[in-house]
Amino acid sequence: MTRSQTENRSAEGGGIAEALRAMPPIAAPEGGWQRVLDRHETRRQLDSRRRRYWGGGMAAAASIAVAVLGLRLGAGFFAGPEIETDAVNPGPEAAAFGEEGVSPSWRAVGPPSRAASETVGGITAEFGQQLERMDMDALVAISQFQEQRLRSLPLFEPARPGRVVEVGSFGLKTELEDQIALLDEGLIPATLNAGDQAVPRRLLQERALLMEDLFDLRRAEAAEAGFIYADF
Amino acid sequence: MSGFANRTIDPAFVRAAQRGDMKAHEIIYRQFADPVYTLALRMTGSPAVADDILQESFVEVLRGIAKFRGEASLATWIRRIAVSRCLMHMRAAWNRRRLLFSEIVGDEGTFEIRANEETPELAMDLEAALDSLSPVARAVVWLHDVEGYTHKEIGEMMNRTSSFSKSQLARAHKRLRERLAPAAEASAAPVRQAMIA
Repeated sequence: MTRSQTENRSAEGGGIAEALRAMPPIAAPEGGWQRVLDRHETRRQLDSRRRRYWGGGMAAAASIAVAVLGLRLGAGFFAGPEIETDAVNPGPEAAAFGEEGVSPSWRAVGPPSRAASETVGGITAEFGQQLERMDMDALVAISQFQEQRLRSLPLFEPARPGRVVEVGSFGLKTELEDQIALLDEGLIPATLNAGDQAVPRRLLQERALLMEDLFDLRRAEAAEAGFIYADF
Repeated sequence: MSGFANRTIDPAFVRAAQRGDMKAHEIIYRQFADPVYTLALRMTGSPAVADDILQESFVEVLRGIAKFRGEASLATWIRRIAVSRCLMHMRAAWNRRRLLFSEIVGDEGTFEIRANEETPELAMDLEAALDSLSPVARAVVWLHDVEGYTHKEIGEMMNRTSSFSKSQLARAHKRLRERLAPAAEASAAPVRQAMIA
């Protein structure tokens, strides 16, 4: 900052700016570098998983979706499809999460297996393969299930006054939420009414993977904070 | 201050980090971790969130340093990443809900108050006063008064206008003066009087 800029700031703040600048720097918490490395590795694994499942297909699908979105902007195409909410037997895994019900198409597919031997970035390879086999109805149903399951987790407040907890996943969580919001707000609604269902299907599959990542993080946070048991 | 201005690093370490040398990355982290953490803590008011932003910022440094072309200093580049992360935190949907709740119940923030050795009462008063501001106002004050960003730059970073930044700053300064005035009256310390002049 130049001297004249500093003087202008001083004049604006009536001396407050100088006092703020005189506040001492604060030491970062110990062990931060190792946590950076751990997080970097987690992110690398997630990237690897996405490349492995989708290859260039997802990027192509997103490009198409963006193009479709551009064409449909302003044409009132954001009213997404009605999602069935009739209560049915949710199945054993849904019951474990306190589900009230999921749509019938969910039953035809069954809940995603999390017990496959190979795990990449916290999500099993088998889950990705199951998503590949699902039709649109099943993908919408799994979205419902994932939303309900996420809502069943206790609300976690990392910055709540008086609570000192580790929130090492906040940035990643924000990133996941942003990506899911992007899909929800524009890409999926814009493409669902298009003739070719391949694009929204890919997007819904991607959404399901993101939701699984988000659930894993939220569950880990809640477990760490002592709100739930780790095997919830 | 955050301390970015006082931190320099040998360009050889930057080049080594760009080649993937993790030891060089660690040296960069150790040089800039305190300024990034200080910035994040001052802007968010939460040690837990500041720690998270610290880590996220350096993950981004790790992933992006190969693209760093040296047009600005490394300190400026890293600071920009940290500021972006802080603003991303403020924009996150779940956090907006938390902030709304905080305004209702009166969240005073929880970061640890550390006394300045030379003027301990002043530092504590200022910390408390800063913490009394809304998150957006606190961010504007810090970015403008300490980090040296212009109103135009702050407006752009927050997807708002420069007028928004100016009005936030003016209201924040007024509030800070109001908060600090009683303490200043109780003390004859010249520096404190200068703050309310």
